[in-house]
Amino acid sequence: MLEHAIAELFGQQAAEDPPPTRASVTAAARRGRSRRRRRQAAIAASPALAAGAVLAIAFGGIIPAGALHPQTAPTKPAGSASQAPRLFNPLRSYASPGWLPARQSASHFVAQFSRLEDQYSGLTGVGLTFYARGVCRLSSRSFACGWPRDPAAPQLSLPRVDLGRPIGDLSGHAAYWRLSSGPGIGTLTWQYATGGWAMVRVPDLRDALRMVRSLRFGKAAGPSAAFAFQLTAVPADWRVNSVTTQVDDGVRYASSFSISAGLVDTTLGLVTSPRQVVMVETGPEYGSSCESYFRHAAYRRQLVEGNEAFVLLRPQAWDSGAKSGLCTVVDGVLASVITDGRSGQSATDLLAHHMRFLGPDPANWTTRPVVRS
Amino acid sequence: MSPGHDVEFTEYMSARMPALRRLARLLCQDWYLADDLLQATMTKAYVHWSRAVSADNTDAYVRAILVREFVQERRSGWVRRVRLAGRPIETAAEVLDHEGALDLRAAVAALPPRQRAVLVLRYFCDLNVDQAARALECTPGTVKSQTAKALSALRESVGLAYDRDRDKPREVAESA
Repeated sequence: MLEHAIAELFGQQAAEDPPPTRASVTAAARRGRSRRRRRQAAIAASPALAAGAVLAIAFGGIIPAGALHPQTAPTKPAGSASQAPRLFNPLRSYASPGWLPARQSASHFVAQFSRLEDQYSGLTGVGLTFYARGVCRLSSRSFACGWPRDPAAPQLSLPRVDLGRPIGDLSGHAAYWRLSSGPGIGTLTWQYATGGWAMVRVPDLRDALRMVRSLRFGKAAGPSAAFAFQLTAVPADWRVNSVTTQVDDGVRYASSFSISAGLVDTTLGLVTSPRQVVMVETGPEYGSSCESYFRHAAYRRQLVEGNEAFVLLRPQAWDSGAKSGLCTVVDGVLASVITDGRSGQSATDLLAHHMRFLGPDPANWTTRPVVRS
Repeated sequence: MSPGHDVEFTEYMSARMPALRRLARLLCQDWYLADDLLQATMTKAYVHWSRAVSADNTDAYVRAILVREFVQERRSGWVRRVRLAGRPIETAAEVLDHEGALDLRAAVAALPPRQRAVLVLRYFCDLNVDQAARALECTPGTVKSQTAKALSALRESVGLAYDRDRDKPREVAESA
């Protein structure tokens, strides 16, 4: 029967020796994280956010954007007496380990108001995460991290994580160690300062403890990420709310960042989901060819202030919340800018009037990607 | 995604990647395209990982992502196709086969994506009509009609070598 022959053919094809794969779990996770951030920003910008804002006004909890000052990093390791920051400043290094297990090196960082996450090359899954004060909530032997009263929260996953067994105090607070269900990775969870939880993931508890004890805070944590260009004279309520950083050739540079606008509330936990208006991707990770970056996208080429720009014809198909988008390469550095409709600016406006490129030499790059008017 | 889920995702995907890749290869009929499809599937699975692990059957959930991604991608031909860097993979030499099977191979590769997906789900994954319908997010009736159309197209393409009344391919010499 034909059905039998089809099953036989599929069986033969499935039994072929496959060539080496180009697919990568790590790359999928990296891209997934980026997509997830955009989704969360899109959710936050939904009517649910408007409802949350109304609630916030009712409670008198809205803090004008200008009054929001993410806490600066402490200059010494946090202890039991210090409080964890209510918000992180995504543009500043907060903490870094002075010691890493063998074959590990810093490779990838994500910084948001509520969370800082480092990942290390080498062993799969090794990483370090800090949560801002109030983000994580404990209940018996498990905890969940997220903003409890964020109206977007029900749509986001706030999984409960098992803390594991208590292992005594670290920094004057209780600490826990848990071996994951999978092989080779354990999680040490502790309060790095009052109200702020952190997790380190390594195979061995001794390594975890050594990493934690070697943590350096504030200026000692290392340089802030470098940005290859600057957005100048932008609206006063624009601020960088998320930065993804890579290390390439010893330089820690921002490979993507997003900008939010409008009011930010800390009392209702809306700080993780302010309105995102601009999303930028840049750097060696994305190559230096806009044809490649926008491969399969519909675009037109346009000269903007002497720079060739690839302008998306259907930005919503690239990113559901996008109103405009472009890619350009200046001095060998690729930059893609996607704007939301509420930014009040198109990507071409930004390129023409607000983007200042700093050249190919990282020594000339900046740690201030946004200069407000 | 929480760090714990990150680890869980990595462990799961590392273990299932070979099987998912073979399934992608059957759908695409090409290893190179299969890697693109697999990459897109893993990325999507990461984004929806909380739902995947809380599903009754995580394997079925991820497989459904892969199949839908395949059908959707071929339908839209749009930007969300993931293209991986690197030169095309040199595919393994075709296994020497009898003429009928080579015809069948070409005929399967020429089927529209949705029909090919239905065949892979039913005759490789051994899903019944209802399960295939769930994976493809369509009605059981659609699965039946797509299966019928696919089989009909294959019979037409390799009509000399196969006959619906026989259990095995008819020898070319015999049919001549």
